[in-house]
Amino acid sequence: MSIDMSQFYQVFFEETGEHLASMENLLLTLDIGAPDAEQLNAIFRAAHSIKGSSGTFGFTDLADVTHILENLLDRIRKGEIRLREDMIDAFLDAGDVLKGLLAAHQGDGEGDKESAEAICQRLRRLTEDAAPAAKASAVPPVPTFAEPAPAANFAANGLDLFFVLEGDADSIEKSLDNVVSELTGYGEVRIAGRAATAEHPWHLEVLGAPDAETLRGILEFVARNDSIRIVPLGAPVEAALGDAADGSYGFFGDEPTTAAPLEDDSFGFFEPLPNLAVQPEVSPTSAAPADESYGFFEPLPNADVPVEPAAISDSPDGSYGFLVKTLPAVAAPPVAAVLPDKPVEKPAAEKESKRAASAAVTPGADTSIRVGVDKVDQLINLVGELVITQAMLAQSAAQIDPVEFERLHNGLIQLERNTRDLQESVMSIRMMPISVVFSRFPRVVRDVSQKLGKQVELKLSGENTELDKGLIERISDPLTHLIRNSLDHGIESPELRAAKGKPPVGTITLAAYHQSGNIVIEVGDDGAGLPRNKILAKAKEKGLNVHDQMTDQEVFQLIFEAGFSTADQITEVSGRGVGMDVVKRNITAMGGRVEISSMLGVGTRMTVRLPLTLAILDGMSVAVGKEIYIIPLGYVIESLQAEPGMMKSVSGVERLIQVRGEYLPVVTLYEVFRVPEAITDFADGIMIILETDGIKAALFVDAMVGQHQVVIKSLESNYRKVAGVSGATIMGDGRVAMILDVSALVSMARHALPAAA
Amino acid sequence: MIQEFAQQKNPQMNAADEGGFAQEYLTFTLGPEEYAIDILKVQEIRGYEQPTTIANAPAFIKGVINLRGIIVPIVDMRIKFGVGKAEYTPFTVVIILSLGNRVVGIVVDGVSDVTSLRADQVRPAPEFAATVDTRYINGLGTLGDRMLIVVDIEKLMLSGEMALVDEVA
Repeated sequence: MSIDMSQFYQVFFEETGEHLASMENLLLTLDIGAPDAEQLNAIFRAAHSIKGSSGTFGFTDLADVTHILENLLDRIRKGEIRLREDMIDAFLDAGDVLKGLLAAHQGDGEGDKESAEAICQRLRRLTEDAAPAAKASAVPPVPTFAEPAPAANFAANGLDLFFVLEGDADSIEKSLDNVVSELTGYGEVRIAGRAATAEHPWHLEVLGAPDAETLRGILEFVARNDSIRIVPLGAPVEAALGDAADGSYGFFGDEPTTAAPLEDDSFGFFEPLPNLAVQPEVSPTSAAPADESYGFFEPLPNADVPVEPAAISDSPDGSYGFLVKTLPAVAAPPVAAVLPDKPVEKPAAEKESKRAASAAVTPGADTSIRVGVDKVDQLINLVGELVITQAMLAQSAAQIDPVEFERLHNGLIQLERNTRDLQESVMSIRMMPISVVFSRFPRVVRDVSQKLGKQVELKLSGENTELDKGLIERISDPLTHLIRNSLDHGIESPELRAAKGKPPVGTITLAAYHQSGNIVIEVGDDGAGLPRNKILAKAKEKGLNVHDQMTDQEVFQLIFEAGFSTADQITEVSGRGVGMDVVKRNITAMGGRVEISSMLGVGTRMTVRLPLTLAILDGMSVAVGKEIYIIPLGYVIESLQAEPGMMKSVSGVERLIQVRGEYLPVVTLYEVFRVPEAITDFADGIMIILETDGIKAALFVDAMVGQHQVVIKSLESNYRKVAGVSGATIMGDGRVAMILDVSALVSMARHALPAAA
Repeated sequence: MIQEFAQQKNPQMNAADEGGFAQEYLTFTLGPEEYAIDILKVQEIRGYEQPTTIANAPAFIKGVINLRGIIVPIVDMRIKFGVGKAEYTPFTVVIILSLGNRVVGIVVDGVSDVTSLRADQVRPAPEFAATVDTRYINGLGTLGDRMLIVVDIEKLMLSGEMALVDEVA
């Protein structure tokens, strides 16, 4: 291969990643008893695409694993082998191995050769185990070439392989060695005829009972695709060549009779509509919808041979897998045959068809582009500025006579509307559907429930709810933990459930929706529910500050305490009491919160509320002196004006405020930040009661200004961390305001207290 | 008020000159001294606007401003080095520097012009008592009867002394 492939590696990695993900999803939704043919085809296509492209790019380890995987899948989808539960497991594991190998190629650690080998063995065993059953079954083995008659004896004897290798002598030798060693896995291999010239085919004999299509798959990697001929051992070479002329190449095994005769222009490709190929009245424009994905046909209308592409677009799914499967083999001959005068077109068409094949399996690939996040952020920044500029203009315009400058006013109103629309669309670029996260959970639930011997069904809803990409990345771990927790502690074992009169299969629901500017994600189960008494008892045992009058909500929040676990025994999945506190911390760090509602014996529901984006925060603006500060609204409990009697002094310094029987430390912001010209008398200002990590404190400020949604900007990107400040934001007038780091302020107050006392 | 220098001007490659390559510098005054900084480090020059103060920051860090959506700290070099009068008039200018991936603004007494200095016009600086520590001085440039102190502005601004970056623990 003379083209430098490395430039396409990134695309390959991304595509393969997508194929693996879609394969996993499909495997999980597969009904083992009655697998849907379309789903099986889709899985097969994914595997095949991975094999094809990894072979093209020279990632042989990936290709090897997918190759075996593909073989087994192929036989399953053809009904030769019955799908079994253990096969799904093997497929999923193979998917994991492939992911590992892929990551290794991307420079992320070492590829695990052993596990790759192990999974290959496992898949081979599955194939072999099932093979005798397949032979005995009523379904006849799929004939892998056109003439059914020799099919009867080829399996016993073996196959003759003819193919043309490309490249110089050295690379041919190398490819040949590879082929032979690969083929040895299927039967005894003998080189029957060496090629004299590059155009002359090589001839190999494979003894045993190989599957012609499997061998073809191997050969496709090295040999010129259109040159591969596979015939039963001992069949006359003329027959082999005759077979070769047949465009179908035995790929239409399901219907052997569809093998098209040589003179058929359609090459068996358009078998359902063989006559359409010569219908000139078919408008070439009908090719338009198919063009993008089947660019393979592009040269045809130009050559005035209107082969009917609509035949394909009519049933894209049906021909889809078939196209992908057969493209490498048949792409060249039809074009060459249809355009005998333009052999130059051939490589182009081949390339085109490859592109088409990869495009076809990632639908929508051409409707999206990959853009760096920094570019999007830059865009968001600029639009933010535009909004501020627009607001400034509007403010100035408000002072001029609206009658005299009517057109200016109208223009400004238009500008405002357009700016708002622009801002909304730009913000939506960062939004992604939560299905990106949800899609991994079927696998988690499956694996964990299997490990725990429980039967669990996962119900998803609201997968299309969109949230910020940054949140998507960070929400997945906490959610996984919540789900594992529900699986382990929530859902009971089937026996226990039956005893309680519940259906043996437990249900976990995962739902996402928008509610008043927040994203709400619910993880619910119909399991045992949280035992209030047990949690309270455990909390007392651990010496936590609890009492029996606490509300359920408060009691349930205790499970988020570090090291808190009521599990009677530690399992592999959970129960060590680590995790829930991390979940809560992660979610709080994202500006969200978790609520729990639960009923003993009925189930538990964890509700995670998150802001729409990481970059936007609901804030309360407060004034101190001439400065404006933003307090994240999530921390604010209430605000009140201090009355003289409420302030309690410690060692002569007024440092505590008594609010409803509680003594709270007072943080005076003007002192902490050394703001000049601020109100110093507690009676004149406002106390804002804040709570963070279960600790309350009162923040003393001059006045409350308002409530805003603010865009969080980092202070550290150009400056450094400032104690008590978590970031900055740009206010409506273009000025910068600091966002307070409430946790830091509250702990400052606690540390300052002994010093003041 | 915003003038973009950096993007438009490249150092002139007057290799034909005997003194070797000429490089362009932006010169500004700080009290009686005249300083020159690499023009490529300058992003733009703008008028002074009241920044938002940062709690507990040193006095020479005036605060941060919003530069088209980016939060940029503003350092008053006059306060930092104790020269000139730190007063803010409509003519006070801020040089916005682009240092690596950081953006910082400095307030100076005045921006003079853009000059080009050939390598032979810049002499190594002797140990002397300039306002700026000699560690950050690349040399002294001579331009007629003017003496320009050529400062490595990036090294200076990102040094611990300017308190703009987190100290590496």
